[in-house]
This record gives sequence, structure tokens and C-alpha cells, in this order.
Amino acid sequence: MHFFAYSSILTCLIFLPFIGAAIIALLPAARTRLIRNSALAVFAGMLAICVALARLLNWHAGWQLMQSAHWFGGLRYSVGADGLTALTLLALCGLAFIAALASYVIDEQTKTWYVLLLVLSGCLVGAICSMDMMLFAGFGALNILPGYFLFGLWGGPSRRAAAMKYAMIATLGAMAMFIAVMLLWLQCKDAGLLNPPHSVAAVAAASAIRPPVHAAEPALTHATLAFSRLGAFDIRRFDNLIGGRGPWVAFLLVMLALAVRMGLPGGHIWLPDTMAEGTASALGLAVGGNFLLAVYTLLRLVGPLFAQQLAEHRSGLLVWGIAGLIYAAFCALAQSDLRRLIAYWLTSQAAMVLLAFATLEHAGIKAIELFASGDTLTLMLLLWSSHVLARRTAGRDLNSLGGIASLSPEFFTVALVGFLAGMACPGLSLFPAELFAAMANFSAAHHDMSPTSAGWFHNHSFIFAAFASALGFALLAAALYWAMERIFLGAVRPEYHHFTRLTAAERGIFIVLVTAEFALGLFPAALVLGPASYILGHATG
Amino acid sequence: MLHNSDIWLAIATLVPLLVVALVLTPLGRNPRHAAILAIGGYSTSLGLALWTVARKLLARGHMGQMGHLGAAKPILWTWLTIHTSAAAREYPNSLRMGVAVDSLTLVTFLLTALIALLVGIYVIGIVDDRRIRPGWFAWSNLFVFGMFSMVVAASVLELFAAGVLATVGIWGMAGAAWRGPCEASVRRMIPLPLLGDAFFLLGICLLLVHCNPAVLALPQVNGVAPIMASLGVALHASGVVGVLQSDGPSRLMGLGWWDWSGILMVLGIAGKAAQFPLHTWAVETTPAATPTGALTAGLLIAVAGPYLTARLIPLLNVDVRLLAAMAAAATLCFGALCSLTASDIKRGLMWLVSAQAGLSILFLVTGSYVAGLYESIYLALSGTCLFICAGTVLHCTGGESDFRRLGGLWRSLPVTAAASLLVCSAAMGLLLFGQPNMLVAGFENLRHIGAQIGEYGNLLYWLPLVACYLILFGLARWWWLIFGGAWRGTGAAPGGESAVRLFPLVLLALGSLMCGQPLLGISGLLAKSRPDLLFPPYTTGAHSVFAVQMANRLAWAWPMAIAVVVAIYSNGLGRAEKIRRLPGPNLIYRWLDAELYFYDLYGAVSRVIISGLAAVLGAADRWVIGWLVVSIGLIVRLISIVFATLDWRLTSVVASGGGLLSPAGGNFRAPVKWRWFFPLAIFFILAAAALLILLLAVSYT
Repeated sequence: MHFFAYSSILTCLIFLPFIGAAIIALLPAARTRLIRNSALAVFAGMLAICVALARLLNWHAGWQLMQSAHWFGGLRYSVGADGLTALTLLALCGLAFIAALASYVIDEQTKTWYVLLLVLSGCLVGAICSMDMMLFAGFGALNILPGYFLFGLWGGPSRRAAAMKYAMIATLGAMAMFIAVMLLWLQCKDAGLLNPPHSVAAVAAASAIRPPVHAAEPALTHATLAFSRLGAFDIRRFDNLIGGRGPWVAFLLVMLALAVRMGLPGGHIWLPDTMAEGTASALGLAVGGNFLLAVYTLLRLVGPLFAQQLAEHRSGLLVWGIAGLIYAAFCALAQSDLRRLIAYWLTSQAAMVLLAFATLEHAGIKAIELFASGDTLTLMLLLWSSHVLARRTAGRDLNSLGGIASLSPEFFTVALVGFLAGMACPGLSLFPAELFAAMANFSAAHHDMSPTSAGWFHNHSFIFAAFASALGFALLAAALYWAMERIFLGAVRPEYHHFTRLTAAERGIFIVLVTAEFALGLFPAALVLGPASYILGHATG
Repeated sequence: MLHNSDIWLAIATLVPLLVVALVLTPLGRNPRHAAILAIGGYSTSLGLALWTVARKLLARGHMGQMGHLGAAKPILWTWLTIHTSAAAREYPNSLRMGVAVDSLTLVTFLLTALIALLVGIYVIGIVDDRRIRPGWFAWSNLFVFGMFSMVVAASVLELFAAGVLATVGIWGMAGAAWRGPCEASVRRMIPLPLLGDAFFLLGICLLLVHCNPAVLALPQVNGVAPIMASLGVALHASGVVGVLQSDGPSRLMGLGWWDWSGILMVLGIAGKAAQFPLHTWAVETTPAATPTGALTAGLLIAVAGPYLTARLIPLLNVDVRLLAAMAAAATLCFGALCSLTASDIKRGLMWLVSAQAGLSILFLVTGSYVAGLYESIYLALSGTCLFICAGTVLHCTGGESDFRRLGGLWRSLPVTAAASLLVCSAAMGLLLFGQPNMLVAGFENLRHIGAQIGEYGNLLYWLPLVACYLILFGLARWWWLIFGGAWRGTGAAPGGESAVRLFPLVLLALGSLMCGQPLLGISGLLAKSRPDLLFPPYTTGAHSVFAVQMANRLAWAWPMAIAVVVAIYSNGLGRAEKIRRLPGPNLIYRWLDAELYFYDLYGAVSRVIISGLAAVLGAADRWVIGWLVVSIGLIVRLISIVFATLDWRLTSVVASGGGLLSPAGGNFRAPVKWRWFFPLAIFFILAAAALLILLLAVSYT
């Protein structure tokens, strides 16, 4: 009985979008309004479940609301949540709801659109709720499919090529993650982490509502490789695989998968084309959702499992982050297409996440969590601004725009918030993240500067990281200012004199996004860091 | 909370933000309505600030509550909790924001509100100009909100945030809200303040990592200075600053983290106040509307820069202060030199303002706290006044801004000419109503410090003094070429002074004349807010022999400047042109006319390095990597064709039972010459794969 009470809230959350998609698929395609409202109801339901989850959860404890069932072979369906999961789910479901709201612009094949959007949301939610690495990798790989169709069926003239590129590279990333998980799974058997499953009653007891602090760490070790036991997993036993390079190969594979998923420099090659061709709402959910998922993976999986590899290879990560940040900022500066500029902006943000992560500092972990929420929100705001602009100007070429500020001060104001958020302006969502990232660099530099350390560069590497991030930040801000100048300033072009005012729906979406931007910027402690404090302080090590 | 009179100042700070919101509604669609809204907002802020002053006076009498910031009772809320390291957790580590008020806050707030209000009134006088857009008022209010926030800030982080807002406001005012060809200027203007902001943030982060975050609260900052004074570079935790370890290992290029933090923050100030090496952006705002220039010069450069310096000097150690002094002295010299050959009235003026801001910062960082702030107040009032004069001239002459086509306007614009002459005359604290004693004290301080530095230390005194003479010459030249002599333009000399435009002009001129008066008590108020500085003022500048000599030098400077200008420009630009053609002066003229080649240097960096790299990397990312992906796709496709063909051939063979060369039984019709290609290709691929596996196996064993 308990099994189907509170602990099934995560299962409900995972399967609600799939069930919703199935129901919508059965509706007649001509009933566009009904389809749209039904999909919105499902997304609202997901958000409501997330809010309920946030209320049920004890934010100062570990894994809760767990549920586990045998699937087939050695695989199990195993889900659970802690503060980090709940926070990521809230961000994701909020993003999905905004994407659904923004989908009112889709007039063709509406039913297919909403079905795919719901399936994509379900896959992302499933991956985040998974406590089992195989389930996690499975859901993560599955979201490529709806993403491929969403990018391939709607969007610009070259959308098919872009979608194919996305599918190819994302599949490569997903395969890398699968291989890493398979390798780990093989090792799990030897490490004795695949214990017999606990009884349902034990699981239900462990996931009681608001368990006492520090009491919610049951031995849920019957999963393929349970996230809750990552700390107990000694990856050094892994050394007997692949000529002693097992941990390194697994680490490399996971980082490759993350590079593709979050658009890190090197893995970003699908991002500019997809951004240029896709629709705003699909991009917001697919790219933003994958970014969230990647950051979640970084904190949940890479930190605890590959601590030794991180410590050994942090210089490599640092170089990757610095070079990637500067590279992406320069590329952003060269763009004349607004969407491509947004793509490189996101790549540079991913590089900043990597830089913060490479510090292995507490401030860096805080920065990553703040980046996750801030970047997805700002991405959605920038994408929506570009969509509104493209609808009225029939193009996003920055060099052919101008004078929009005087035509629509209202649009200019809200878009300005997006651009300023993108350059981490104080008061907006990304500023606290940048602050913590810079602090993490200096903190790491402080700890690395010991007289016993060998090598001048090694001793000062994080100082360089801090200055490089400042340079990257300045270049990125210059790119965004220049883009704003080309779009909004200057003389009004005759062809844009018909630039219409914002519609009520557009205005509504802007209000939601801009309010969220200010809320995250002004109250980061209450909205992000406070709820995640336990997990950021303890569970991620 | 309402018992705390500072809350009224907090409300006054938020009023411009409310005006921004109102201007964006249909209420603000008409420029005149938007201007009235803005003036209403500024008046309210000014009124609330005056009310705060009155409450403080009534509360204790004799300004008892307006003293040192360390004694203030700030209104604070926790914004973030910082855990930089385990050791830092021993200290309270909340990063708090809020409002902290001392006498400097009140004086600067009143000054800012007054200048904003007077510029707003001036804009009413030109609001019928069709080039103005209502959005300008939103941007100007955002800028003023940023300035107010900076003034009432209770922490260093707030100073940074407010500075960023002010920069955004200037960007918007300069580019977004005024019809005119100023987009290119805006593009050139923004990178340097951005770079300054980035450095400032890094400096703050460095402080946060190494110190208790409480050190960022401005009331605590004053407490740092005595520690620095006594211990120099190496700091120790003593209740105020929680330093994690001594400065020893954390050195980069011979400098400790405290030095680096200070240098980065000084660069942040340089970005705001247009100081060397980030000094070239200010003149780029001059193609924008005159009120934009007036607010940039009068508030951002003249007030924000010195105010930030005044608040942050306790955090700067001796070496960094000397570095800041050198940067300010360099700006003073560069600005004074560049103004000598400027042919644009606003550009020349902006160089002069930037140079004088350098003088103010120079005094502040060398310990002449009151003199530095006095210079800042004078500069704010006089800079705004002169910009409004320039705006009036531009308005009357239909936008003519070249000195070579102006002159003799004192006849048609008598009040403007008189006001600007008085303001120029009051420069350097001269004339009857000024208070040169403070400046004399500043210079005396410079001489003492210079003497202590060593062999070339006296340059710290002589260079600024010579630069001040040049500034006076520049001001005299500026006035004479506009108002003196004869009209050099085409047609009759224009006229047309309106009461609305003259009102702020006259008030600002009177303000700049009177601000140094001891009767107003401003210097006393400023002195109350002085933190315990590392460089105490050496003299009061009142009675020493040097003070008398210095006062004489300054007193004679202005008549000398006037005399030289009249001698050169009394017959128009002819004599100046003759001097310019001489080989030596021509070389110097070219150097000065190119504004010391800083534009070329920064332009080269910007265009060649940044833009070039951006273009190359952008193209590489799009085309090279794009083609790489496409090539991989093609190879995959080729291999798939090979395998598919092979598969078809094999099944055909099995199905037909015939030889490999028989094409019968399928749709594939390969030419005869290609028939051996696929089996051969497959053979080579398999051989390569086998070789690869062999190599891998060997390497692993």
C-alpha cells in the first residue's frame, strides 16, 4: 500500500508525460485547441507534481521517495530523489511548461509536436529521477529520438541536415555513456554492489515522508549501480580492465558524453546548426533540458565516482575550459546570426561550468548549480527573444536589422533583460554563478600555490583560469552588446516599419521569464543554494 | 525600520526605478510627458534626501549622526552565504547588501540628485527637438538609479553592481534613445568599461576568497585601514579581517593577493572614471546627445570615480595607492594634452573633465581626502555646466561643434558665455568664492610623498602641477574659441537663449563657484567621513611657506592662461595655424591630434587581434569542423555502400549459386571495370582492422 502512496510520486512524474503523449496521440489531429490544452494540462500537472515533491521532500537529507522493481535480467527500475534531484526537476518542469506555452506558435502537425515534446520531457525527467545508472543512461539516450524529430520536422530550411547532425553526434555521446556504464556494471558484479533486492516494505519504509536528517541512506544497492552507493564504489578495482586504464577510459567516455550533451567546446559541433534551424520552444526544452541533465550528471556521477581521476586530470579539464571559453567567446563575436551567437554563448557557459568544476572547490559546486538554473532560464529568454524578432523581421541576420528599439520599446526592454542576463549583469540569474565561479578559481589558486608544488604554471594555473574567465566574460559581453547594437540601435529600416507590438501570449511568456530572471538573481540563496545546500555540501563530496 | 532615517534615502534611491517603469507605460510615450515624469522623480529623490538630512540634524543636532561610515547603522539583508574554505567558515560568512549612510553618502546623494534634476530641466528646454525619444528618459533614470545605488551602497559588491548599472545606462543613453549617428561611437565606447567591470569583479572575488566576507561591508572597510597601516602588506586576522594565511606563498609576479585585489579594483575604478589605461572611452560618448555627455561627465566620471576611490582606499595598500596615483597622474597629463588640440567642443571638454577626475583621484589616493572630494564636487557641477553650455551652443548653431567655425558668441549668448567663464575661472579652486586651501593641501601632500619616494619622486608633484596649468590653458582656449573673438561661421552669428535652458546653467555655475565656501560646511562634512588613511594629510595647507608659494602659483595660473590664449587666438586661428606649421610643433601637434595614438593602439588591438581572431575562429568552427563532420558522414556512407553492395553480392551468389562476377538476379548493374572494386575494398578494410587489433593487442600486452 505504501509503495503506491508517496513513494510513487516520482513514477507518476516520469510516466505522466508518456501517458499524456499516448492520450494526445489518440485525439483527432484536427482538434488543435483540444490537443494544445491537453498538453498544457499535462505539463502543468508535471509542474504541480514537482511542487508537491518539493513539499514532501526533506531537503536536509539524502535519498528519499525511492521505488524499485525488477525489470529484466540484472536490470531494475529504480528511482529516488534528494535535494539536487528535486531542484533539477523543478527547473526542468518549469522549463518544459514554458516551452509548452511557447509552442502555441506551432500550427502544423500540432499533435505530433506535442506528443514529441511530452516524450522528450518524460525522457529527461526519467533520467533525472533514475537511481540506477543503466536506467539513467537509457533515458538519456532515448531523448535523442524526440529531439531528432522535433528539430527535423519543424524549423528552418536546412533543418533536416541539422537534425541529422544532432542525432549523429548525440548518439555518439549516448553510446559513450552506455559503454562507460556497461564497463562500470561489469565491475559492479565483482565489487559486490549488486546485492539481492530489498523487500518492497524496506524500500517503502526508507522512503517515508520527511525522514529524519541523515537517516535516509538505505542500502538500496540492488540497482545496476545505484547512485546512492557511488561513494562506496572503489574505482581503483577497475584497474584490471583495458590494460590498467579502465578508470581513465570510463572517465573519458563520461566526459565525452557530457561534452556532447551540454555543448562543451569540442562536443558543441551540433549546437550552432541545430540552434540556427530549430524552433525556440523545442530548442529551449531539448538543449536546455540536456544542459540541466549534463550538469546533474556532473554533480551526481562524475564528482563522487571519478574523484581520483578529477584530481589527476584537473589540469587537462582546466585547459579545456579556458581554451573552450576563449574560443567560444571569439566565435560568438564573429556571428551574424543571432541563434548561432546564442549557441556559442551556451558553449562558453558550458566551458565556465567546466572551469568551476575543475577547481574541485565548494564555491565551484555552488557556481555549477547556479549556472544550471541560470543558463537554462537565460537560454529560453534569449531564444524566445530571437523567435519574436524573427517572426516580425523574417530573419535573424544581425547585419540586416536595426532600429528595433524605437519601433518596440517594450520588446527591447524584455530582450535587453535577456542579453544582460547573458552577460551576467548583477541582479540577474547568472551573476551569482559568475561570482562563485571566479571565487572558486581564486580559491583553487590559493590552495595550489604551495611552495612544495612543482612547476610555475601549475602553481598559477587557476590564476590564469580566473583571468581567462574575465577575458572570456568581457569578450562575450562585447559580443552581446554588439548584437544588441545591431538589432536595436541605429536608423529604422523601411522594411521593418510594420514591426508590430507584442501579443498577449508573447508578453505573458516574457513576463514569466523576466520575473524568474530577477528572482534568481536577487534571491539565489533562497531559491537555489538553500534548498540544495545539504546535497551540495555532503552528497557531492 | 522607519525609525531609521536612512530608509528614506533607500526609498529615494528606488524612485528613478519607478520612473523607468512609468516611462515604459503609455504615460511615457510623449517625450514631454516622459521628461516631466523624470523631473518629478529626481525632485522626489532630492526632496527625500533633504528630508533625511533634516531628520539627522533634528535627531542629534550639529550633524551628529552624519559622521564616519563605521559608526553608521546600515540596513542590511543577507544575499548569499559564502563558504570559500574550511577556515573561512570560522567567521560569519554572509554576504550582505543594503544601505549605509554617512556624511559623504548624503553629500554625494544630494549632488547627484541635483545634477540629474538640472539636466532633466535642461532637457525640457530641448524636448521639442524631434530627435529625442522617450526611451532616453528611461535610460537616464536607470543610470541615475545606478548612481544612487552606488552612493548608498553598504558593500563593495553593491558598488560593483551599481557601477555596472550606470554603465548600461550610459550605453543606452548614448546609443539607444537618441536619433543620431552615434552607433559606431557606442560600439567603441563599451569594451573598456566592460573590461574594467570584469577586473573589478575579479578583485572582489579575490577579497572574498581570502577574507571574511564582512570585509566587503563598507562600514567594516574603514576598520581595515589601521590594520594595513600598521602591518603593511601582510595582514592578520584581528576580528575584522579573516585572512586565511600570510601572504607568503600566494604571490604572483612578486605581488600578493592583497596587491592584486587592489590593482584589479583600481582598474575597475579606471573603467568608470575614464582613467589610464582605460581612459579612451569617455570621449566616444561625445557624439551622443548633450545631456548624455553632461551626465557622463558630471556624474559617472566626476562623481562615481572619486566616490569609488574614497570608499575603497582603505582596501588599497601603499604600493597599489602609488600605482593608482601614477595612473591618475598619467590621465591628468594625457587629458590636459589632448584637450589642447581638440577641435570638437564636447570632445575637448570631455578630455578636460577626465583629466580633472584624475586630479581628484590623485589627491584621494595620496591621502588628501577632503581636497580630492572637493575637486570631485566642483568638477561634477562645473563639468555638467560646461556641457550644458556646449549643448546650448550646439542648439543655437544648428549642431556646429567645430571650434574653427565658432567664435564671438558672447554677444548672442551673453548669459551662457558669462556662466561658462565663471565656471572656468573657478577651476583649481581659484577666484574669490573658491577655497584653494584644500587644493594647496593636496599639492603639498603630493610634494611630501614625492620626496619620500626617491630620486624621481618629485615628478609626482611637478607633473600634476604642470598638467593643471595645461588644464587651465585648455579651459581658457575652450572658452575663447567659442565665445571670444569674432564669429568664424557662415552667415550671421546665431542667438537664442531660453529661460528653461539658462536656469540649470546659472544654478550649476553658482554651485561650482560656491561649493568650496567654508560657510556651506561641505568640507567639514567630507572630513567627517574620512577613514583612517595610510597617508595622513601632512599639512592643512594654510600657513606653511610652501602653502603660500603654492597658492600664489595657482592664483597666477589663470590670468597667465588667459593671457596666452588671447595672445594666440585674438585674431582667430591664424597665429595658432602658423605655430602649428613649424616643424617641431607640427610633430607635437600630430601626436596630440591623434590623441597620443591610444586610439590607434586600442583600435589595432580591437580590430586586428580581437576581430581578426574572432573571424578566423568563427569561420574555422563553422566550415572546417563542419566539413570534418560532413567528411565523416561521407566516409560512413561510403562504407555503408560497400557493405551493402558486398551483402547484395554475397546473397546473389548464394541465391544464384553462380560466380561472383555474375550480375544476374539483382538490380545492381555495376560496370565491368568496377566489379573487382568492392571485394578488394572489403579485403583492405578487413586487413586494416586486423592490423589495428594486432597493434592494440601488442601495445596492451
